[in-house]
Amino acid sequence: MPQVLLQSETNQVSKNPECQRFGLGLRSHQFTDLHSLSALPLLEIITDQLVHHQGGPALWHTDRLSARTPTLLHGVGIDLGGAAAFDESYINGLKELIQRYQPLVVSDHLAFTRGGGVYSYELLPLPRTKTNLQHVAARIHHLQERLNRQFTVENISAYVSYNDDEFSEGEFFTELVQSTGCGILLDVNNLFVNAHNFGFDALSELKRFPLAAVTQIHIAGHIDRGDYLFDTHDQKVRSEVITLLHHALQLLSKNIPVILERDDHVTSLEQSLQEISEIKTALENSSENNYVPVT
Amino acid sequence: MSQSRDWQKTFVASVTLAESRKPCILEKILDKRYSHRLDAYHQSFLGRTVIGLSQALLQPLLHIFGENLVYEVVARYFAAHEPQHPSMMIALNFLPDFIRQSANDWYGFFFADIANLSLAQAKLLHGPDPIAGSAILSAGQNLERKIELPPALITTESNADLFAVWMNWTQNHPVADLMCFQQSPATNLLLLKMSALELTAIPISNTLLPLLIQLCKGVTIQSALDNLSEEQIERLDEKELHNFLSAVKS
Repeated sequence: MPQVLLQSETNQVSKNPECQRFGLGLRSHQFTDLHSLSALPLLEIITDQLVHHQGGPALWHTDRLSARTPTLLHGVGIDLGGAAAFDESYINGLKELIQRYQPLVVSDHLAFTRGGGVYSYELLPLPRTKTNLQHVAARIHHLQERLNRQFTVENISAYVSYNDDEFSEGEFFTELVQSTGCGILLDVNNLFVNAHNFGFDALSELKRFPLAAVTQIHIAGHIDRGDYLFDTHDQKVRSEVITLLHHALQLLSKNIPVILERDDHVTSLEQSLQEISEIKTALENSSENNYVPVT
Repeated sequence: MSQSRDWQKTFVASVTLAESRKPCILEKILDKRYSHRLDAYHQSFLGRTVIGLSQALLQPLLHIFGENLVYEVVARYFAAHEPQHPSMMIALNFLPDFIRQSANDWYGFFFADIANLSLAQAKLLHGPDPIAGSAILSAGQNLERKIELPPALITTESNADLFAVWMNWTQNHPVADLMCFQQSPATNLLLLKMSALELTAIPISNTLLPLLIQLCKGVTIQSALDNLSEEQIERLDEKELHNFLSAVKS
C-alpha cells in the first residue's frame, strides 16, 4: 500500500506543468510575494504552524497558494521517538491538513521532542537500538493506520550520540522501511553535518540508506562551531552539501522533490529563488571527482 | 518504555533548563566523546524561542538589550513556566507579564512591550479569524453608523517598520492618533488596537485602507463608501470588510 501511494505521488509531481523539482519551505514573510509569482515552486507547509489553526491569515494564504502548486506537509512536533503517547489533537489536526491540502508527502523527524510533559521544540536524537527500532516502527504503523497513507521520516542533525547505538543511521532507516513501508525524507545537509560531527564518510553512509524509499530531499545551510557543525538553516547551502546532493540525485532513479529550508536570517523570496537557481547550476557543473570524503 | 521515559524527561530538562544540564543519567548513556555538546541543544532552544517570539523584532531586540540579556530573561521565564504546550506562542503567553513583574531593571517595561507586540503579531498570523458580524453591507441601517476607531497604530509587517512603530509607541504612549508608516501596495497592514497596555492586532489589507482613511474622518460607513472611487469599491473584499468592522466593534 505505501509503495503504491509513493508511485502515484511521484507521478503527481511530474505531471504538473507548473511544478518544478525544487521547492521552498513556506514561510509567512514570503506569503505576499509568493502570490505575485506566475508559476509557484513546490511548497512545503510546516504542519505545526497550522495543526491547531482556528482560521487566520496564515491559513488563508496557505489555502490560496496550495491551490496553485503541489505541497508537502512537514512537521517537527509529532514526537515520533517519544516515550509518551501521541498527542491525539495533533494527529487529528494533521489528518485535517492532509484532507485540506492533499500533500505529496507527509513527514516528520526520527527524533523525540518532549519528555515529562515538557516540550523542547528541538529535534533530539534517539539511541539507534533494536528496542527503539521496534518502538518507532510501532508508532509509524499507528500513524499510517490513523492517517491512511504513507508517513515519511527524516534523518536529523545530531550533536551527541549514545553508547548503546547498534545501527548506523542508514542501517536504522533500512530496518524501519522494511518493517513499516514508511518513506524517507533524506536531509542531505543533516547527513553531512552528522558525518562531520561523528567522523564517518557521508557518501558511504548515504549508500547504506534504502534509497528506493526516499520520497523527498531537504537541503539547508549550517555553521561551523569548531568542534562540530551546527544545523542552523540560516546560511546558504555549502558547496560540499551540494556535491553530496549531486551524488544522492545520481543514486535516486525517481524525480524526487528537493526543498530548500531557511528558518533564520530569513531571506526574501527573490533571494531564495536565486539560491535554488545557483544550486541547480552547481549541480549541473558537479562531477563525482570533486567529492571530498568526510572522515 | 519507562526507562526511556526517564532519560527522555531528563534530556528535555537539560534542553529547556540551564541549571540541569549534563545530569548524571545522561552521562551514563551518552558517548563521552560528544556529551559536552549537550549545551548546543540548550542554546538552540533559547535561540529558537527568541526567534519565535520576535522574528520581526529580533534584530532591534538584540541590538537594544544585547543577546545575553535576552537569552537570560527567556531562560528565567522557562524556569518559571515550563513549556507544556506544543505551540511555542502559547508557551510564551505569560512572558510579557513575567518580564513586567520580575524585571526591576530599566529594560523591564520596554522588553515587556516588545514581547506583547511580538506575540500580538504571531497571534494575528496564526490565530482565529475575527468573529464575523452579521452581513453589515447588506443591512442598510448599519451603514449609517459611525465607526469609533480606537487609539491605534497602523504598521506594515516588515522589520524596519515595526521597529519604527515601536519607537514611536514608546515615545508617545498612549497613542491617540492614527498613523501610517510606509504604505506599500503589496504589503498587508495591521491595525493595533490598544486598551491600556493590552494590544489587539486586526488585519487590514491595502484595499481596505482607503475606506479606513475615510472612516477616520468620523463619517458613517455609507458616507465613507460614497467617497471611494469605483476602482476602490471594486477592490474591496466584502468578507474582509465584515471581519474588520466586527473586530473594531469588539
